[in-house]
Amino acid sequence: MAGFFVGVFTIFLAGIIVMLLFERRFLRVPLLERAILIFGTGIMVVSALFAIVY
Amino acid sequence: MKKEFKTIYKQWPQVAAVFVFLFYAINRVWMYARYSAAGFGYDTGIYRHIIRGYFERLGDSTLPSFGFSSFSNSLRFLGTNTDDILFLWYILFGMLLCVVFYVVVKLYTKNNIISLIALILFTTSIAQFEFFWWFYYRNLIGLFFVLLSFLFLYYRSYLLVLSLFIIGTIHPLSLVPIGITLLIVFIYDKEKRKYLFISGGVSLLSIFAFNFQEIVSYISLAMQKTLYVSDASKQSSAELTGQFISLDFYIRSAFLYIFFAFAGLIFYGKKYKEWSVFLIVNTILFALGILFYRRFLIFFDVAAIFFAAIFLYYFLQDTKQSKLLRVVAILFFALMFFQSGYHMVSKQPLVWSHEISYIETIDSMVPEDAYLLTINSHYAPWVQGFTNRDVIAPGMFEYDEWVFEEWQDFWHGEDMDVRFDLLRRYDRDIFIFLGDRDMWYSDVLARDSHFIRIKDYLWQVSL
Repeated sequence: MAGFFVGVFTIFLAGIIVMLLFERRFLRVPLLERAILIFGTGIMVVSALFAIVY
Repeated sequence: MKKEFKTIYKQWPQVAAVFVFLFYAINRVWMYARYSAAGFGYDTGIYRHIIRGYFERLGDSTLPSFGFSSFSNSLRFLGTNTDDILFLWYILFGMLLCVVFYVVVKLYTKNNIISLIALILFTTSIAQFEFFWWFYYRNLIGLFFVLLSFLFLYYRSYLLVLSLFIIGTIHPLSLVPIGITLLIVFIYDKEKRKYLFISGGVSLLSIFAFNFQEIVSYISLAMQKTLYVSDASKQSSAELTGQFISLDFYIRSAFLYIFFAFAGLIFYGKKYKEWSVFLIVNTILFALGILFYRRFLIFFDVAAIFFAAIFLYYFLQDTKQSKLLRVVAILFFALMFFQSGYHMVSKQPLVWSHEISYIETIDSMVPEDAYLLTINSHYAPWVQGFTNRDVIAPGMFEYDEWVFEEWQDFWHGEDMDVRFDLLRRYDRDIFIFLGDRDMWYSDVLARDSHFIRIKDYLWQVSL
C-alpha cells in the first residue's frame, strides 16, 4: 500500500514540475481541472521517461 | 446560516455532482468489494501475468514490445506491488475517468448543469460499467488520455504531443478515433492547423520510434486477417471484434440517451465541432465493422453522452414551464439510476472468489518445472495470472500443442489411450486444474488410476 502512495506522490511531483517548467497557465485553472492536468501529465512523464530509459 | 444556505443553493449543480460521483465510486468498487480479485472480467489474469512478467524480465530485449509495460514497470519501480497496480491503480483510473470527463464537458460547454447531466449519464451508463468490469486496462488508460487530449486541444497546449504519444504506446487502438478526429480538425480549422501539424507529427514519429514492433503487429494482423471483421473466419471473428458488448446489448442499455445524442448532434453540433467529428468518426468506425470495432463503442458512448447532455439541457430549458415535462425528466434520471443500480447488483462474476483463492495456492502443490493444464479456456487467464507455472490451455498461450480435434478427443473421447498419447507429447509432469464449471470432467479422470486427485480442484497425471 505504501508503494501505491509513493507512486501517486511521484506522479503528482512530476506533473507539477512539468507544469512549472512548460505550462504555468495550467496552475491557474480551477482546482479539479488543475488536479487532473497535473496527474495526467505526471503519469505521461513518468511512463515516457521509463520507456526511454528501458 | 441563511447566507451559507444560499451559497450552497446557488452551487447546487456542483453539490449534486458530488453525490453523483459518490454513486459512481460505489458502482465501480462494488464488484471488487464483493468478489475481490474475481470481481473483474476475463482480462484480469492476463494483466496480472503481464505486469509480473515484464517487470521480472526488465531490460530483456528479447521480450516483445508492449507499451503498457512502461506504465506498469514504472509503478513497480516506484515500489507498487503487482496487485496494487492491478486493482488499486485500475480503480483509481476508473475514478479519474469520471472526473476528467466532467472537467472536459464543463470546459467545452461552460455550463455547470450540462456537465452535471453528462456526469449523471456517464455514471449510469451500463456500457461504461461493463467496459470497466471487463478489465480493459489499456483501453481505460487510452480513454483517459483521449479525454485529456481534448483538454490540451482546448488550450492548444503542446502537451498534446505527450498525450498522443502515451495513447499510441499504451493502447494504439485508442489512437485511431482521436487521430482521425484531429486530422479532420487539422483540415478544416486553419487556426489550429500549425499547432496540430506539430503536435500530431512529433507524436506520430515518437510512437513509431518507441512502439514500432506493436504498431507493425497491428498492421500485419489487419493484412493477414482482414481489415473488416465480417470477412474473417467464424473462429477468429469473435476475437477480432474486440470482444466487448454487442451492438444489440448496447442499444438496449443506452437507447434512453442515444436518441438525445443524435438530436444534440443535429441541433448543437456546429457549436462543438471537435466533439461532433469525434462522434461521427466513432459511429463510422463502428458501423464499418473494422478490426476490434466493438472497442470504439466506448468512445462513441462518451461522445454520445456529451451531446445527449447538451440536448437535454436545452430541451429542459425550453420547456421549463411544463410541470409534466419536469416530472418526466425526474423520472428519466431516476430510471437511469435504477437501471444502473440494478445492473450492478445483479452482475455475477465469471469465476468465484474461492476458485481464485484455490488457484493462488497451486504453486505450493505443483513442482516448478511441471505444466498446469486447464481443460477450459474460461479459466486460462486466471490460472496463468495467479500461478507461476507454465499453463496449457485450449487454443491459448504458447504451450498448447494440440489442435481443436485433439482437444475434443481429450474432452469427450472414449479411449483413455488417446488421452495418454496426447499427454505424452509433453516431456514434463502435468497437473490438471478443474474449476467449478469443469466438475463433469472429474468423472472422466476418476475412471483411470493414472489420474490422481491431489486436492479439490487439482489432479496429477502419472504416466
